[in-house]
Amino acid sequence: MTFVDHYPKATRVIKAAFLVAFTALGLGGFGGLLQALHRTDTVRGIISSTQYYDVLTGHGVLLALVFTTFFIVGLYQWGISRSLDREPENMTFTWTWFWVMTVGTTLTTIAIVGGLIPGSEISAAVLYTFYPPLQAHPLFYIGAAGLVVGSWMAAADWFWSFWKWRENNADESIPLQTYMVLFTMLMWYISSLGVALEVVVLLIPWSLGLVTNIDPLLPRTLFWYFGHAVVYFWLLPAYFVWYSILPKLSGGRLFSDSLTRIVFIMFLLLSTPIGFHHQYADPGIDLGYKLWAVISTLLILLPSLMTAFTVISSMEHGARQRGGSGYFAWMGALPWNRPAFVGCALAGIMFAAGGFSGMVNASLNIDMLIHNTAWIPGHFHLTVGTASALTFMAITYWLLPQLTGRTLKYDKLALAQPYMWFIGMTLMSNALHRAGLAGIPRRVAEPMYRLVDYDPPFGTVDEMQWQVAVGGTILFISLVMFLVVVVANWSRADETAANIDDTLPAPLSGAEHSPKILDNMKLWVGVAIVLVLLAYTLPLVDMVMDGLFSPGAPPSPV
Amino acid sequence: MSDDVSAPSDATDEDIVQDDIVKELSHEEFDPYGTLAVTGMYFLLLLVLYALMYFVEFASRPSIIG
Repeated sequence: MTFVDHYPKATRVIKAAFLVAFTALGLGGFGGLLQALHRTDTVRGIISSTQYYDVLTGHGVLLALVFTTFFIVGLYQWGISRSLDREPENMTFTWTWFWVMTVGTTLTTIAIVGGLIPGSEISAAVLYTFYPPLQAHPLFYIGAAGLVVGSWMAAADWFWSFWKWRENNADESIPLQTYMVLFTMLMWYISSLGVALEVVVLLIPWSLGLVTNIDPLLPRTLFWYFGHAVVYFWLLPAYFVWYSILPKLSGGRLFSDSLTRIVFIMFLLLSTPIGFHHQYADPGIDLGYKLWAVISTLLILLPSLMTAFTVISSMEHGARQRGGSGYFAWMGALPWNRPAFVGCALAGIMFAAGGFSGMVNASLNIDMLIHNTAWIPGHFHLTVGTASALTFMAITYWLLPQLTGRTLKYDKLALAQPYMWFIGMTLMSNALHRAGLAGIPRRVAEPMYRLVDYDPPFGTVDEMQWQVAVGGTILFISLVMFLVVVVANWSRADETAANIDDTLPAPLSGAEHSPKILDNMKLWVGVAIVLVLLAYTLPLVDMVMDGLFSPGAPPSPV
Repeated sequence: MSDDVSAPSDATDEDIVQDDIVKELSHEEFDPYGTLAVTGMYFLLLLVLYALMYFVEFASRPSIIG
């Protein structure tokens, strides 16, 4: 008996969410391959330099928004159902949020793909950040709003399950997996309000032609109010895996339940008020607000470093139980021959490297060295592109048997896949970081290699281009390997295999040692709102005092 | 299952990691000095990389103070 036998209704919606997620992963990943080959001058002719921006928008939106969000709702539905021991309360409501998200995604995808069809009136080459005055077809914004609203409904569904559970468990601590889900979604409610306001109040009326001009700064600010917190919306589900499942995959137990809760509280408090660190180079925002963002951003390193401690010590516990010893030799005792473990562990190692480049981004002065350069995609391919994406792929190898009742087939291919990802990302990301230090810009289809004499501090431009092209190709091969394993393992077994292990061991220091105040959601949401008001009230008032749409710029392309 | 903690599986699983455990370590018996070593190395690496940033910004290039 495994998850699918206990919760067949939840299983169906989880598999549906994963199906959309993996479709987006395949399409968006192919876009990434095209970009890597085009931008480095390796293969030209598949797309034009104009179409590059449509492909780049598709790559960003399908991977960073669609793949992540759909995988997360699937993963979190699994976590809620198993940790509360409940099917969803009302399947009509559950399928409603799934379809609101899916229809929204479809509309947005149509708008993006329209740009690649000659003669089409529809296009959305506005990149993942959709900064105005770049303008997309209204379908792009309406679809994106649907995706966000659907995710809000999913969160409401999980709170509903929690409250029903609470009726019969008044004095118990919130189960740890449910705790992580609910705190992620509380953070998501607070932060995604910014992008919802941006899209619904400003961009949809503007794209429909109800107003002509747009103030570029206000929507940008609302985007980044959401735009850094969304990073934690991607990462916290990876932390959910690292805290609650990875210790078991390592052969050990979670080090501390209370540390886990504290980390999730800190992300609820600090994820949103730090958005201005994406706008260090923006004019029209007072330096004081930016300095406040520097302080808060450096503070948010703390829960990530606490995570490093808790996750590594939980893995060490596993290694020592498996006979490991020494200061470093214990790592050799970890199960490096099991795909789910390997993917999560390699994702964690990559995330540590991304931690360094993130500290550079966070620092107002040295950020200026790398602002808007290739360093930035180098950084976020380590965070969302590996810490989250590789963790999601790896844990699929562990979850899928629970959803199908079938032991994992093609396990050798599954084992090779995370190693391939690690190699590909090492090549691509190190080269992008160094290219950024040389001043090579991000986003552009033509980085002007021949017209500008870049002066790389390490290596040569040719060598970096080679590494990006080869790395991007290896990443795409790894992605195809993942999809092959998923397709081979997708169907439900006639009879559930006996050896599917879905159990999770208790933490070394459990919920009985966690102070009750950690479970006080009202308190922590209140503090989070106060911190948001402190960071954003004055700058937003500054921006709207002269009217929502002024000073206005005309849309582009005209 | 009203908690995250599941009872050990009733399955006879040859593939689960728990079968590789050679000794159970309780909270009191576990001293994570390996974690200290690994995180300490990471801290040193961060310091080295930060120092490197100085050379990237200033070394062999004219600075604003000449």
